[in-house]
Amino acid sequence: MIEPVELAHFFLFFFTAAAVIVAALGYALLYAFARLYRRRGLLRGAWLAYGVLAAAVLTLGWLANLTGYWQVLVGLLLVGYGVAPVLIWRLCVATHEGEGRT
Amino acid sequence: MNTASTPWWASTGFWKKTAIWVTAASFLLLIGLTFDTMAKMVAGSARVPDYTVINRHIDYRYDDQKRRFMPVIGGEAPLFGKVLSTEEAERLVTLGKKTIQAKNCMNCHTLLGNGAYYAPDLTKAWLDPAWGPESARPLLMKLFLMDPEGNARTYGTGRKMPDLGITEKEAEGIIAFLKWMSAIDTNGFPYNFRTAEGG
Amino acid sequence: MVRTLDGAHLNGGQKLAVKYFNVAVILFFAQLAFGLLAAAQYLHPDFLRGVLDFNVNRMVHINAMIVWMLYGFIGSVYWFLEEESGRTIVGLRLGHLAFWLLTLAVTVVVAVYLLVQTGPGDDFTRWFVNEGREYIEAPRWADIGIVVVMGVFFYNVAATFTKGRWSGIAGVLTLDLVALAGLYLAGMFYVTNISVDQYWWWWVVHLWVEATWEVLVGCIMAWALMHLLGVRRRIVETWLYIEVALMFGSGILGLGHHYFWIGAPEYWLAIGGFFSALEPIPLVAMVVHSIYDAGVHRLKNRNHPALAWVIAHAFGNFLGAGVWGFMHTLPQINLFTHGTQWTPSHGHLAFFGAYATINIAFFYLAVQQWRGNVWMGAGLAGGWRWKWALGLLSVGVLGMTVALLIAGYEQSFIERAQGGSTWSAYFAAQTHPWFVESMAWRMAFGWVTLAGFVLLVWDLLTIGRHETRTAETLEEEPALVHG
Ligand code: HEM
Ligand code: HEM
Ligand SMILES: [Fe+2]
Repeated sequence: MIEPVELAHFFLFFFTAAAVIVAALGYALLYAFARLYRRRGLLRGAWLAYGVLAAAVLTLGWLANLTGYWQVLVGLLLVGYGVAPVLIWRLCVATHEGEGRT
Repeated sequence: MNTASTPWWASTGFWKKTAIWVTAASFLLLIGLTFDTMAKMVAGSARVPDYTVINRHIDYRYDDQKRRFMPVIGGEAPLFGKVLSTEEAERLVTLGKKTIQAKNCMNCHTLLGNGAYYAPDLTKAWLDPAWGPESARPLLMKLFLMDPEGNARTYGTGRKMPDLGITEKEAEGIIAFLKWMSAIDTNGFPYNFRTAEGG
Repeated sequence: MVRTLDGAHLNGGQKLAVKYFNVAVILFFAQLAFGLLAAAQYLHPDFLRGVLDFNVNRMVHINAMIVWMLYGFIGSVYWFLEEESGRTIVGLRLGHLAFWLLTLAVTVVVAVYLLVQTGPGDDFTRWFVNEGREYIEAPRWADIGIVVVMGVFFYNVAATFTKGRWSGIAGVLTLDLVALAGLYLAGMFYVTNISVDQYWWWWVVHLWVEATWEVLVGCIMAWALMHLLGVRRRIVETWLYIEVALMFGSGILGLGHHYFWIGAPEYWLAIGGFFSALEPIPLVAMVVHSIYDAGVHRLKNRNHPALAWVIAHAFGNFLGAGVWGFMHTLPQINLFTHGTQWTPSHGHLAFFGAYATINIAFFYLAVQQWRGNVWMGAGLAGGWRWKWALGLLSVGVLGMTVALLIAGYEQSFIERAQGGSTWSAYFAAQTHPWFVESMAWRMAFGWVTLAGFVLLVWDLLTIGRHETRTAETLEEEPALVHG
């Protein structure tokens, strides 16, 4: 069963949910650019973006009362959106192997 | 197909197989769930009542145990003063459903929250306090459906339901359909809806 | 020198494709026109009342959208079918016949929508006037006609690949078309039980836009990327499979996010919440990969407007489906946003961002070839037009989306949470200043959208007319056979 979001938390909830996905993209892009251009600064930005993402997911868990088995969703979001960008990047490189990246 | 330097987890073959397996597994799961859901949603199940529910009193209340709102089926309260048999009830609700489709209601209203947003949700329309006491409801609804412009209450929006040429029989069907729909267990949607009895 | 749009530059499939594209653009206009009428009725409820009521305008608005996008997709497939299969299309004349049949059927259906509108509550109305189910209102006779025409289309595709050459793209495309047509059948029967009705109705709607359409676009994009940027076949095909795995893996069971409140069992709350929360992942993957591709190929491409629209597609899909979708997909919040203006806020951005964009990109690919492989790279004469069209359309739709978002937020608060969704709560939310002003803003941005459309059509009709240069050819594999 679910425990709905509280009225007072609506705005924060929408904001946080958007932050999760936007941070996921930011993290993925920063990570990709950091590798593409071999820039350590960007890599730090990527970890920062993941930090924002993780904070947003935890906040989301609190706002949406993700208790009980719904905690699995929090874990899934933390791991899924954390690992996916790295895997996506690796796939980009590995599938373009032999195409002469500069 | 792949150059020697491509690792197996980035190879075309690996992803082709993955795509096939993931799709097949998801689809099979969906089929299994569909069978289960169909069994739990037939008219006459715990979630979706039999059409003869239109002979009964219906309310919508907060359930302390489930911690959400639930339909509550009460004693006898026949629609239009007549207790209908199983077939009669189904026939009337069917007429209502067909009329709702024929008049394109869902391109202004929502039913179970799906449709258009120009007019109120009809999920619990039968129970809406705006229709007054249960004894007056069927007649008021009928008059409204047959002459929506003449009986319009626009609450300051100026929006009036158009005259769709609904006959008396069709209006009765629609009302029966709405009453039946209001008894479906919708997992607590709409939230906090208060019936005339103060649910 | 004036370059004309000359059929001599096109192969057989491409000649059929441009017919589909022409009708698509006309229907796109119909979509916008009827959207504006419906939006105007929010502001002036007496406008056209009794002549074209809101439900009629809205029905034409969303039906025109579905149909123009399908026309665009079908056209795109015919466009590349000969190059991809390495031979002329099998049964092309049948394909032309099917096009005229479909177009005739669409014309009759729209005429009946506008002139007859509704009917008595019997089976005749559902068979010959209006089925009354959102998006698939087309009466039953037309459903059957559509299935027959899709059968011809499918025959063209499958037979051409079989007699020509199969490829990864061809395989995915063919299977996806089977699924797409099969799903349409799920919307072709009558039931009284509204819960069962909506259960199957969502199979059509959700499994189209969040599964089979995404994959169809994936196929079209795969071909376009090879053509536009010269990306290697092995790479686009591997990525096509990756996207299929991610899309279907999250999207098929993500269907559950529509089963929260329709009378289905409680387990759908968890299934829908979990799987749909993962649906943005493939969209993130798509953005990253397309940026990687563009970076590797240093944005060298032979058609600037088309690539710009492809990039708009990647971001639009991400924003409209990914971000806007995720914001209301958990049942804990959907309980309040369900069926408010929140829903069309997401619907507009997602359909535009994911599907209008990619179709427009393809229109640009088509006019390029149609004008004799004209130069569409840097320094294109009149290049401001496509940029402004892209800008106005995007700003218009984003503006409408934000206006609807504000209205939806207010509604979920006042109507759903506080007022408990009664009729008086509904109207309280509809008359709230935030709502009223949002509707005015939506109207204004609707006009911006229309302005963008006008510019787009002007541009498509004239781009490259006075251009003397010819587009550079990219190395593509395998060697293409032009018919
Ligand atoms: C390109 C992909 C997508 C398109 C074109 C699209 C379009 C739409 C449309 C038009 C509706 C409204 C349907 C109606 O009329 O009732 C809708 C509803 C919905 N969509 Fe999407 N969508 C897409 C992807 C997504 C994704 C990825 C998510 C979740 C992450 C999502 C979540 C939802 C939800 C929860 C609803 C139900 C809204 C309600 O309860 O009223 N959508 N979508
Ligand atoms: C001139 C610009 C447009 C205007 C003024 C407009 C207006 C409208 C209106 C008034 C509705 C009915 C909403 C309701 O029931 O309250 C609607 C629905 C819809 N429109 Fe548009 N529209 C425009 C452009 C577009 C575009 C470009 C797309 C997509 C490519 C689109 C896709 C949709 C969809 C999917 C729905 C159904 C949404 C739902 O049921 O949630 N519209 N539009
Ligand atoms: Fe969906």
